[in-house]
Formats: sequence, structure tokens, C-alpha cells
Amino acid sequence: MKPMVKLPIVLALFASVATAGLAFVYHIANPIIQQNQIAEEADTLAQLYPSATFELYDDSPSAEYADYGVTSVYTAKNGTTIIAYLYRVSIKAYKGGEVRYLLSIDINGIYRGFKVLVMEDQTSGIGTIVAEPSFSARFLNQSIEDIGELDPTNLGNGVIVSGATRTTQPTLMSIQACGRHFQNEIEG
Amino acid sequence: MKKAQIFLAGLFKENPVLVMFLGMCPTLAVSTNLDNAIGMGIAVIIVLLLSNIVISLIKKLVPNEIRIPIYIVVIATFVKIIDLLMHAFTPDLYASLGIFIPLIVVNCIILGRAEAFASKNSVWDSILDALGMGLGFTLALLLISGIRQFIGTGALFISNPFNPTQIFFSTGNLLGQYVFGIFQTPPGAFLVLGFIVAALNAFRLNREKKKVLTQDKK
Repeated sequence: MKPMVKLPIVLALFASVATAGLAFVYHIANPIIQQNQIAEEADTLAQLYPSATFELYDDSPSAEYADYGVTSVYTAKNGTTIIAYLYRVSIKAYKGGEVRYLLSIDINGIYRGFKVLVMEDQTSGIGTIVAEPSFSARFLNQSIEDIGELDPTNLGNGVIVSGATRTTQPTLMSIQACGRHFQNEIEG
Repeated sequence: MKKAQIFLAGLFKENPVLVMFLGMCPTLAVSTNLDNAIGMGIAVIIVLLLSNIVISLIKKLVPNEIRIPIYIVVIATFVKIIDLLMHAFTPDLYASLGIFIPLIVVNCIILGRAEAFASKNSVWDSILDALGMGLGFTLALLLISGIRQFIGTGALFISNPFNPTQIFFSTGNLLGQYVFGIFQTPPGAFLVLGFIVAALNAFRLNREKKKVLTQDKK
């Protein structure tokens, strides 16, 4: 057999055996990895609604929302009644650091809860302002329509402090994207 | 070469990290604490052992022209298997070691031993070589990690990789406020490695001098 034919065939055979081995291990490991991720998600969701049960509502929001960092949406239920929708959001903020947070919107379209889970490389007192109560106080207990009309680049009133806009602006824009998702995909 | 010599070579005389300077990237990056050192060390030992066994077994089947791509396929397969298993069973250690688990594929120790040893020797010798080199890598990593963790945080501890809340061993903070945070950073890794290598070289030179003096006297 010519080397030009033989060598690719031998390489393909080895690659096939390797693929079969990997498929077998993936078959064993993947369900456990998925279970671990679900357990981790449940822990974080329970931080906003400790007594609720959660169900995944949308695990791949469309680009219209995903571009703003919305990664998944859950329903929070008391028994069989939905009490709120929880948004898991991950944005790239100042210096490319991740800000990951949970946001809840109740069934009437009011922002009810906000909890920052991860904050990477943010300057204390500037980027970290998004985790402070003064930031969330500007939109909590307000309707998605009211917050949706705000201009994230020009909020004034100390919401966006000078130098913090690289973190506060994308955070607020993602909060508005969650509101739009609620309006279009849930109320819709 | 005697079996014991094959095994011991990797531990001391040809230690991959402290003598041959192979696998420097994970050595410097993950050696911030003993947990990372044990996790990375075990992962490298398993990959090295399995890849050496397989490469030694298939050495007569592999055409010389494509031996390196095939070795890479074998090594990458075992690394991915370890990656998946660590992700499933030791998620905290997996998160802590991060990108350095998949990077074991390009660890010079693994491909170096495959090409230089396993492809030319018997399976049994390849197993001894893998264990010696793997343990040598792990011991070097433990030494660097222990020093960095102790000086950088003031404490030494080892936890259960399957349950990080279970602490097997902890000294508590023995240095109080007199810790040097730089040893937890990459420059600290270079400093510790440099001092260890310098000390080993001084020890080796001193021993050689003594040997020459003894021979002269005879």
C-alpha cells in the first residue's frame, strides 16, 4: 500500500479508537457534571427565594438577550404557582472582568431581587458599586417599563459615578435586557 | 539499565522539573498550595503512566513518519479522560487547576518520555519510567508549593479533593502577620524555583568536589 494512503488510514484508526474511548468516558462523566451544575445553580437561586422551587425556563435566550449577558431564565414557584422569574446574567465589565448576578422579576413585571454572585477585577468603590444597595435601589421595586426607558449612559443622581461606567452601564443594560425578555417572551 | 535505576532516575538524577526543567508552565502556575500540587501531580502521573504503557505496546504498529501525531492522539485522549473525570468527581480541584489540566497535553514531560523512552523500551520499563518521572514531578511540585504556601500564607493545609470542606491536615497560621504575599504570585514561583535549583546545584558541586578530593588522596 502506498504511504500516502496507508499513513492516513493508520492515523484514522488510532483516532477512531481514541474517539470511542472518549465517548465511553463522556457517557459516564457527563450526567455527573450536569448534576453538579444543577446543584450549584439551585444553591445560587435559593439565595433570592429560599423556600421556592426552581425550574429552568429558558437555557439559551436568543441573541437579542444573550448579547447583553442573559445566560438562563428560571421560574421560582411556591407549590405550583409561579411567583417570579429569575435571570442569571454574566457580563464583561471593566478590564474584561466578569460580573455575574441574579435578578428576579415578579409576575407583575416588577424588579424584586438582585444579587451579585461573582465580581472579577473591579476597582473597590468604582466598579464594585454595582454590588452596593445604592445601585440596586435605583431599579428594585420599579416596573420593567420604567427602567426600560432609562438611558444607561446618562442616569445622573450618583447612580453612575465617574470612572465606574464601564461596569455600571453594561450591568444596567443587561438589567433592561432582562426586562425586555420578560415583556416579549413571558408576557408576550 | 537496572529496573531500580530507571525508577530512581526520574526522582532525583533526572528530575523533570529541578534538573531537566520540563513542565515549567504548570509547575510555576499551579504551585500556590499543596492541594493543587497533589491534584496536578496525580493527573500527570496517571496520564504519563497510561500513555507510556500504550505507546510502548503499539510501538511496532506505529509507522515512523506519523509517530508524533499518534503519540499526541494517545496523550490527548488520556488528558481529556482525566479532564472529564476531574470535572465530574473533583469539581473544586478542577476549577482550581483550570486551564492547566487540558494543557497537560503539551507538557514536555509526557511527550518527551513517550518519544525518548516508551517508544524504545518494554512495557514494564516504561511503567517504571512513568512512575519515577511522575513522582519526581509531583515531589518537585510539592516542594515548591509547600514553600510558597507557607511563606505566602503562613499555613500549610491539605484537604480532601472530593470534599474540600474536609481538611486532612492543617498547621494554622504559624507566621502571623509576617507573611510574604509575593510568594503566592508568579514572581514568587520563579524565586522559589531559583533558590531550590541553586541549592541543589551547590549540593551536587560540593559532592563532586569531595569525590575528586577523595580520588586524589587515593
